[in-house]
Amino acid sequence: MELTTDRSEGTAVLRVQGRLTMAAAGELKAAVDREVADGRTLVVVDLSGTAFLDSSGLGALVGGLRSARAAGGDLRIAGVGQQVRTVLELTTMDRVLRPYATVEEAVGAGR
Amino acid sequence: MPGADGAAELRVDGPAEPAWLDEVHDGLARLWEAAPEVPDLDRLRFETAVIEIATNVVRHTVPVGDGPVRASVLLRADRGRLEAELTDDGAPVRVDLDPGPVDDFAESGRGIALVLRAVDSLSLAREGDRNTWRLARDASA
Repeated sequence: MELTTDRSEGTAVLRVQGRLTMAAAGELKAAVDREVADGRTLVVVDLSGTAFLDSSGLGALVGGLRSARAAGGDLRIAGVGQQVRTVLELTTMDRVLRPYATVEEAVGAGR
Repeated sequence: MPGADGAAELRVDGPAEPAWLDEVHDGLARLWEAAPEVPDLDRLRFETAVIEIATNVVRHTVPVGDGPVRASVLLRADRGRLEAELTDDGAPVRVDLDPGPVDDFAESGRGIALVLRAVDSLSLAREGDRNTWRLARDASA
């Protein structure tokens, strides 16, 4: 997995390129926690370049959501592909991590 | 790789470590090249389930003697039926194949439930000195 971050006032966009699986889950969770600790409590995870998600990666997203909410913010996911959507639907976690079509929509959806 | 009877089959062996998971991903990609008729929906669900179980093997299986655990996955696509057999020579594992629901904000505990929804059958048995997982899905088409 390759992780790139775009920061603006109060918001961080984390772009996950590759597979978000066991090997990458810890890194993503740590990155979300870092942004939240620095005051960027609206975290958008751009999954448009994410080829594969497993339950460990999903756990990292949930953990990040918890961190962001605990700080009064939110974690939103955007740009999910077919496989990621499959995992969200089969675990019914699309109720909790509702996918936004684009990063812009996720950022603009209010707080 | 396509067998004489039209089935596509391949095996990926290795130490039960993260690099083996990458090889399993590559093996699945090769399986789909050999079985292009498998619909996307079935391909995605089967692949998700196989990787989930392979990850479980890497994460939870401990060696009997001097490490590492050796793992093997056999992947097969035969006229719309998808099968995987994952075995390892680690110590016997016990996994609850009927897990209860987890809290929405739990960070783990969803793997087996995800597999059960992604395939038609899942089993785990100790066969000889190997843990043996079997998964199967019949294509929806």
